[in-house]
Amino acid sequence: MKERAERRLGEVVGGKYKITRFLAAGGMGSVYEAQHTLVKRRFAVKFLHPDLARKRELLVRFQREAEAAGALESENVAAALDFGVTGDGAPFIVLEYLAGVSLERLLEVEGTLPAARATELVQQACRGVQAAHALGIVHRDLKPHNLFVCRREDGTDLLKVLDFGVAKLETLETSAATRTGTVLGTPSYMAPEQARGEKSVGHGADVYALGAILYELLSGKKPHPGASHNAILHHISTQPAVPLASACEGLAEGLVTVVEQALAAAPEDRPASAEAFGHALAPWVEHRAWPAPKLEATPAAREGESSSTELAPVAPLAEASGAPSLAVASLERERESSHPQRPPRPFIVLAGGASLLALGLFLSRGGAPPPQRSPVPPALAPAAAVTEVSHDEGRSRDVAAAPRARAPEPVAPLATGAPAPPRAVGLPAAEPAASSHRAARRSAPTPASRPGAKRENRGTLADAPAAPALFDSTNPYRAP
Amino acid sequence: MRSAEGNTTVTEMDSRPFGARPAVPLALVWVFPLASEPRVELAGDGKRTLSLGRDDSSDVRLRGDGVSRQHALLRLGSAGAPPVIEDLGSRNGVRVNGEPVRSAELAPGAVVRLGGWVGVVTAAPGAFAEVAPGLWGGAALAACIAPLGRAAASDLPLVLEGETGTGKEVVARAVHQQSGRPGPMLAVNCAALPEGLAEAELFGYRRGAFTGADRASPGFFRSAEGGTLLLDEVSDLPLSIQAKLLRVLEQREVQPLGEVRPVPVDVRLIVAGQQSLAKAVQEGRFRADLLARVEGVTVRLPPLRQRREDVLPLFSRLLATMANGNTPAVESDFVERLCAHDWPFNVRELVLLVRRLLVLLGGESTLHAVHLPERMGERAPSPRSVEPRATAPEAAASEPVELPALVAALRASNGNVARASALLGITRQRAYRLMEGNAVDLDALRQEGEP
Repeated sequence: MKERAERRLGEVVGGKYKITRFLAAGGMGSVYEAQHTLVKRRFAVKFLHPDLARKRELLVRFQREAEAAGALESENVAAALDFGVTGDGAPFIVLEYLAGVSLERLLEVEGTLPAARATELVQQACRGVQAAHALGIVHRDLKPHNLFVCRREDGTDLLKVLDFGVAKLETLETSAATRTGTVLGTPSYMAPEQARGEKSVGHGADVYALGAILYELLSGKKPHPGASHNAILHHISTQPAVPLASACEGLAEGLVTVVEQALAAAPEDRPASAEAFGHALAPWVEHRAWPAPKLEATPAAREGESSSTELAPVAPLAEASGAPSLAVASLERERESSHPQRPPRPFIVLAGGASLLALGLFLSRGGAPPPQRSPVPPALAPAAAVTEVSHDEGRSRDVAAAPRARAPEPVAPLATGAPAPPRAVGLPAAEPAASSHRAARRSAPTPASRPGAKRENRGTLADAPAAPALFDSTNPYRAP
Repeated sequence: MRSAEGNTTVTEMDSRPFGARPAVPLALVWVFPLASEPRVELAGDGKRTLSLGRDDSSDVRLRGDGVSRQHALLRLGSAGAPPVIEDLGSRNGVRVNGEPVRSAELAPGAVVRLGGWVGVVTAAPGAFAEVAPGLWGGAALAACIAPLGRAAASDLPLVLEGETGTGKEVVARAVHQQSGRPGPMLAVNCAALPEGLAEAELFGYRRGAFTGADRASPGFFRSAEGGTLLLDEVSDLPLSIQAKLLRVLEQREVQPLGEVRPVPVDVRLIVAGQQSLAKAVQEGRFRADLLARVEGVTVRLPPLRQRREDVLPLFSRLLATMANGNTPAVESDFVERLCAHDWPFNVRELVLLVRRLLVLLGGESTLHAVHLPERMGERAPSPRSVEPRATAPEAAASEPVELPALVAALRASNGNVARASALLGITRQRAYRLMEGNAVDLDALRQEGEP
């Protein structure tokens, strides 16, 4: 599939987006990095698979969803910016290009998040989801993989909800072909009514998913047990979520109650809206800077060492910026024309791939000599940190976010000569308050020190065909 | 008479003696992972097949764990021919009633597992619901107790039959609740009444009526005044007391021990037993006249093994209500064994199992088959394997049938090819082919058989 997908390299679509790099492929299509031919800005372009595009209904839906997503005005939504159809009939959506990590990856690295951070992230997700609900869009596939955590210049988190509409599209596609087994994808964040395949899945399902995500951020566990897709699905449809208090001790009672309300089996027992859920979290939210995630070695990372070519454009940029945040400026053209006085840009996308993780591996070893094939200096740590690799499937996942005209937040200026990172330490240098955060990080559980948790789960699900899963519809089912 | 050509699609099952199998429209209902998945109707013309698998092109698309792209083929049944499932070389195989099979007939109650999916073959598909207050089940149970809904509001006496643990008392309570009778509902297990005291317990006694009667007792009948009295295992009552019971029903009054005058009572009587009361009458354990008097409406509650599609939903409900929120997930192998078990003690056994699992395996997050008691793995009849017709009908024949045997069989059956092939255990189609190549004169054989 990749070969087929990569054929678009070099193509100019929509008359102005030059495809520069293949990012990922999924069941619904593939995603590329593109550069606007006139304004010299990076975007991500998602193509709908040509086979799917032939279904008129799907095509119409794809476009409608693109429009809806484009209309979303929220800093917490990664919005679609353009839509078009290529000369050979493949529809595409142009998206922002984002720098950061998915919440899924962050969770893998951190194990659990402190309540103050978890609630703030979910509160931001609530805002993004609320904006969509206001337009009558139900996401229906919220999960940590679809929530992207960026870093503002000041080190605080900015969360972006991704893939609005894609979930719906997927549902449509399967309902047409499927008579049985309509529930796809990761069921862990699915509301009971959704798991049961009920027709009328409303806002309540998104509220439930947000609750399930918060549950996992706080406890490191999914609200419903089960080692297989079907076991989880069955549990969701027949059993209440495992009480949060028994999954995680030491949480404020009030917070436990709020999370469990969001996980109520009946939609009417949940908070009335995503906004209401977000408000209910307010007492625990703490808006402050957090240390950059420390990426650990993973098998995928090691494999990734063999393909370090993609590092090239990233390295000099990160070096140049040394910005104290994840959102380091990172585009070569930025470097080339490096205008420090340029107005701040909201988000930069850093698409890396497995190779960057390899870098993360090196860095996390604290100053060990770099792997032979990685010509990148330790200063690149931040760059590595913004790249996400799904280690179990060896796929890279780059996410789009682009500067938005109305983006209100102060963001990391690109290549604006931030202080140079303390290379001697060999740790990700881009931490604002290095010492205190480093201490915090040291105490944080790493994936390796969390026996069971994530990896164990994957053990049962991960022998999947290594289908790239950009759209998250690629299911983690075990191949028979 | 059909020609050989016209019969090329006759199935193997046509060789079954006629009338041996009633044509029940069966369906394969999924119980795991979701009961809401569309069921697969198994009634057809005996020819149609459905493919099951992960492929988009499958007739029944199963997604989830352990399902191969092309997993199994279902040949729909017809009158006299049960549906058949065949493995299409799937990686995890097809399992029927807990056994791996290459191909198997699907009888009502068959438990089918394909990878992570578990289904049950049933003649009464329908949603699992609370069919009466406190009583949960699917369409089979709902159909059984339907007459009670109409009879509840009357004061007709009821007879509830059903194995132990099938919910007779629950049904009685539901009837009482629905009847709107103001009095209480009392349940008495007659088998547990000491024989000498049965009369006193039922009808009451005056103080000092007998040794030890140091104070008066109203007895069960008067205690249930205005309400409902369930007499469980009623055929265990001594015949002498049955006679008095008859009188209570006839006169609507009881005669407490030691009292001179009978006391009028207004009680709705429900009698229950594991066995049929008619059988108890035949065996002389139950008075025929009493049966005639109590038999207003008779309902036989189906045992759990006759409604296997209800097992997992019941289990899940019990788990959810008994576990205080912290419940384990179940895997398909667990579900398969749960459904394939015969449940001799019915729902009561299931309740006990849930309680036991919660106590012993409280810490488990996922239940597998190994967590079930060992004896639960046993189930008597294994599915009858049949040869896959679709692949090679000719080669499939187990033993070569010689022409003389066929002629003899035809003679014995007056030239009825269907019956003859049934005698030989071959398909009718095959019989026709044999005849075709050997110039058998059917008409002659038929005339031979006539006097």
